[in-house]
Amino acid sequence: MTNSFTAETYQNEYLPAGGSEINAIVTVTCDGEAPIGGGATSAVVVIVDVSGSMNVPRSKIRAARDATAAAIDCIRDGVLFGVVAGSEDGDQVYPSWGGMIAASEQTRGDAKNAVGKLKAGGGTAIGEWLKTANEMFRSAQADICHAILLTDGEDEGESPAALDRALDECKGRFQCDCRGIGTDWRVSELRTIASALLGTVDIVAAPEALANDFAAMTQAAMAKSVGDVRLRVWAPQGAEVAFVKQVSPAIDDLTPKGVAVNDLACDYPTGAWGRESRDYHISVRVRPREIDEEALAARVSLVVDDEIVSQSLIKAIWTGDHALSTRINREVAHYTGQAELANVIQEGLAARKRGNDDEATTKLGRAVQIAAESGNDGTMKLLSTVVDVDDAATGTIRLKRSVTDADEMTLDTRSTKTTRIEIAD
Amino acid sequence: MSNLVHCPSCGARLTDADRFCEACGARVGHPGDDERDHAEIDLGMVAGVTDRGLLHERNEDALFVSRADGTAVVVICDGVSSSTDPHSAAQVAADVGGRALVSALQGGDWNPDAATVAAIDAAQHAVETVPAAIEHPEDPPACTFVSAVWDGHDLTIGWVGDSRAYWIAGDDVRRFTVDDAWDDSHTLTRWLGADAPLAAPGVTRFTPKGAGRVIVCSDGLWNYAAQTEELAALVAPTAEGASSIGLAQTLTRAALAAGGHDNITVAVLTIGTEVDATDAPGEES
Repeated sequence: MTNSFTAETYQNEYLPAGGSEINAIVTVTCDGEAPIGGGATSAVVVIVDVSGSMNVPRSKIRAARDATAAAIDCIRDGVLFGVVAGSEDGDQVYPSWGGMIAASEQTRGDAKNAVGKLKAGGGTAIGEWLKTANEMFRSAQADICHAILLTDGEDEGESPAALDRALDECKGRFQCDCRGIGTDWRVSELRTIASALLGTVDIVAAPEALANDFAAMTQAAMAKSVGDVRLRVWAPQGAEVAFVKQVSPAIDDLTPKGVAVNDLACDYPTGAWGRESRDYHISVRVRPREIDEEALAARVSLVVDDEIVSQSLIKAIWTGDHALSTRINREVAHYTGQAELANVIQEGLAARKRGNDDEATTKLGRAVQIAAESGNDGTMKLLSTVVDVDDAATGTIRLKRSVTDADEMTLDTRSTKTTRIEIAD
Repeated sequence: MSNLVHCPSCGARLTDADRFCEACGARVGHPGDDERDHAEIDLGMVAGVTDRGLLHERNEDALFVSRADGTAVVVICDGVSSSTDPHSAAQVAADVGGRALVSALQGGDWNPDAATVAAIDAAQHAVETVPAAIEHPEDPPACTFVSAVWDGHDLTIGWVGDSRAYWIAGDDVRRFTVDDAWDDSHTLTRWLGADAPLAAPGVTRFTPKGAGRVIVCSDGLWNYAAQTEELAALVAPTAEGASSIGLAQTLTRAALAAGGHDNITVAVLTIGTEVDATDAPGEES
C-alpha cells in the first residue's frame, strides 16, 4: 500500500435566513506505509550561518558546526545533499565542486570534514543563501526538496526587497525549516521566510541544544514521502473564499499563497507529507438562498501530482430554526480560539516592547485565559515565563518585571503552535 | 437526480453523478444520499459496513443484513456506475433480494438453492421496474448481487456480477464466487438490470466443518486484495474472538487506507462460535 489521504469536514452547516458565512475545519490525514527509500526521491541542503556574529560567543560557531554534522549524520543513504555556508554570500562548501551528492558513509564523512573547517566572518544576506540552495536543488531534480536554515542575526546584508525577490524565486522549489540561535535575530523575519517556504520556525536559545534539534529536523524531513501536496478549494459562482488557514500543528495563513486553477477553484500549496495529520480552517461567504435550501459552500480536495486523491464537502443549509443556525461547532470554535491566542500573544509582546503595559496586560491576560480553556499547556508554560498568573480562568495576570530576551522570543516564535481539541465525547 | 439535465437554480448543465451543481453549488441530489455515505449494521454474529470511499461523490453500494433464530442473510449489491441511477438499482435489489431470502427461510419447505435463485429473480424484476429504468431505457439502472444465507447447517451463496463471498477458517481459505467479468477488468459479463443478458446466476453451497467467517464484499474492498490469500492476510491479524462488526470495520478501514477509490461494502458472518448466541435478532437494510 502507498500513502493515502483522507479529508474530513467539521462544521455547522446551518445558516439563518440571509446568512452567508460558512466556517469549517477540514482534517487531512496522510496514512499508509511511507515507502522508505523507494518512490519519491529526496534532497536536503543544510544552510548554516557563518557571519562574523557567530563568533560572539565563540561557542555559537562551534555549536553550529556540531549541529550541521549531526544533521548530516541523519541523512539517509542515497538522499542527495549539500551544505551552504551563509555570510554576505551563499557559499557552497559541500560538495565543493557544485551540484549535490548522494549520501553515503564516505560522502557524509567528507561533508563533516568540510563543515569542521568553517570559520565565522562577514555579513548576513539570507536571500543569497537561499538562492545558492535553489541552484543546488535545481541540479538535483528530486521529488522532495528540503532545506534547513540556521541563523543568529538579522538579515542586514541585503534590502528587504532583495530577500523578497529571493523568496519568490524559491517558493514552490523547496521547503525550508528555519532556526534562530541566540536572541539577536528577528522572529517576524524568520517567520516570513519559513512561511513562504512552507517550513517551521523555532528558537534554539542555547547553542548546546542545537545538535539535537538539527537531528530531529533532518529526521522529520526524511520521514516525508509525498512531495508537493496541494489543497484545492472549489467554491460556487458568487461565493468568495474568505480565508484558508492551516490551524494544526501550527497556524499558517495559506490565503495569499492560493493559485487559481480555474474560475471557481484555487490551489494552496502544503508541501511534503509523511504520516501525519493537519487541520485547516476554511471560511467561505456564499450567496444566501431560501429557507430549507441546501448548497455546496466548498469542496476541498487533496491534489498530488495533479490527481485528486481525496475530498471532503463543506455545505450550507438555510433554516428558520434558530436552535440549528446558532449551534457552535466545537472544532471551529477551538481553532478560532487558537488563532486568537497566537494574535494576542504577538500583539501583547509588541505592546510590552513599546512600553504600553496596560495593553500588554490585557492581551497577555486574554492569552492566558484561552490557553487555559483550550488545554494548550505548552503555550501556557511559555506564557508563565513572561507573566505571573493570578487567575487563569478570568485572565488576571501581572507582567513580570524582568524577562529574558530568550523567554520572550521563545513565546513569540511558538505562539502559532496549536493544540488539537480534547476528545470529550 | 439524473433526471435533471440542467440545474434548477442556475441552469448549468449537470452530469449524472452530481449531488450539487458544479457551477452554483445548489443541491440537485436527494438529501437521503448523504446518509448512505457511511452506515453500519451490527446484529452480533452477522454485521456489515458500507462506505462511500474517498473519491466517489455518493455511495452506490447497498447492504442488507438480517438474522433470526440462528440463521442469517447477507446481500450486497454494487450499482454499475456507468448506468442511470445505479444507487437506486443497488438499494432496491438488496432490499427485495434480502427480504425474499428471509421469508423463504421462515416458510416451510426450505430449499436454499431454489430460494437463492428466486431471490435473485425478484431482485432482477425490481431493478427492471425502478422509475429510471422506464425513463432511461437506453441506459437503465444496473447493479451486481451477492447473497450469503446461513440456515444453521449449510451456507448458500448466490451471485451475479463481481461482488464476492469468501470463507476464512484458519488456513482453510476459499472464494465461493467467480467474477462475472472479463479477466482483470471490471467489465461485467453479467449484472441485474433491464438490459441484463439472460443467464442463470451462480449458486454454490458449502457445509462448514467448524468455526469460520464468511466475508461478503463489493469490489471496493477486494480491489486491494484481489487474491484470496491477500484478503485472508487482511483478516488474519484480527483476533479470533473479535466481533463480526469489528472485522467488517477493520476491512473497511484497510480499503480506505489503501486509497478508497470505490464505494466499499463488507459484511461478516461468524459461524460456529459463541458470538451467534449474543444480541437480539433483528433485520435491517
